[in-house]
Amino acid sequence: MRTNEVVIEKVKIWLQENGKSHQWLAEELNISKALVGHMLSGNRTIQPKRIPELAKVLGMSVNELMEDSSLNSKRLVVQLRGTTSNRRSKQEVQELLFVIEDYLGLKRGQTNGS
Amino acid sequence: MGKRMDRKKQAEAVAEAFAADFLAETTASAIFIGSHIERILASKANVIYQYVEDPTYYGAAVSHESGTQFIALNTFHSLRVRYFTAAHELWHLSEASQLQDEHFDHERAADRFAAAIMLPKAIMKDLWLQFKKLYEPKESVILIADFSEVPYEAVVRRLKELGISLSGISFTEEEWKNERVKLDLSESTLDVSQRLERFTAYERVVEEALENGVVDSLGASHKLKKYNSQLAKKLQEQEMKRVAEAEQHET
Repeated sequence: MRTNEVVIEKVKIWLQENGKSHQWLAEELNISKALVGHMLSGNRTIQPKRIPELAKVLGMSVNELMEDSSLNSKRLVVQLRGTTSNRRSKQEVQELLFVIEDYLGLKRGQTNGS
Repeated sequence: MGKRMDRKKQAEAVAEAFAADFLAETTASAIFIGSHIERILASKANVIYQYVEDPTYYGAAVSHESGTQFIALNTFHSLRVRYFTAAHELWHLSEASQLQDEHFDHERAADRFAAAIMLPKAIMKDLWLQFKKLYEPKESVILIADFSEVPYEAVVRRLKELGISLSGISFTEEEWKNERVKLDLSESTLDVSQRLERFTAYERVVEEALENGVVDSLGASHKLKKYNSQLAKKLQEQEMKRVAEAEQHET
């Protein structure tokens, strides 16, 4: 996935999960609603200077915003038992995956080092 | 519709057969496995205990392309439900689950497998015959649920699967707790959740990384904050002491 697509996907999901509109995002970024629409539909490439601004508004680091999570999901196959029905529990599952990735990274480091 | 039913039946039959093999290999005699299921699970995968305040979330199975498996259990649920979830997840880790084709109904099989290993056919039938003479059906369900450490609803479903008729007995887990009170039975600790957040394998690798200098005390403390807060606090205090001593040394 290209960076522009990754960012668009993340922003769209975030807006949906947090119940925020294009209008809200436009006001936060101090740009027009039309421009937000063009950006999120992929008609207009997101300018590099907008990335840190978007990350700030979404409360993410620039890395988190640009990281292609589809690459991670290829390495980890996740099967939920039940469903996550609130924002907090969705976040808990995401955090669990980060910790598992971290565990695997540290484990790999130890295996390579030994 | 017919095809869907066949698939469910096929999944149940396969799960029941593999459960019998599993029990023959795992337990020396016919017993209820109960809480021991978590030990069995831990011998096959990295178990992670999470506390997530969401009644619809029971846990997750995560597998890495290297073959490493992780099973998360949500400790928000009662102990009974947690043990049953562990048994359900065991199906997904079993060789039996790998042998099935893509059309196989794994969720159905996992539930049947869990019921079959937690509530073995032979013991269930014997117990039911015994209890029938002594207690009313609702009380018998509660007693079996306590012995086997599984949810009440799972006991009722299992008895029905084994051909035992239970007309008019259909309650949610919450309602079963009320039934206990009505029948003057004492409360059960199995109906309570045991808040627990633990990922033992992660604790070990973080400690090893700290010993090898891959992470510093503060980094390790941050990583362990959720899963071992006591150790995280100790590491943080050590680091603060080290910094204070270094400052004193400089002045």
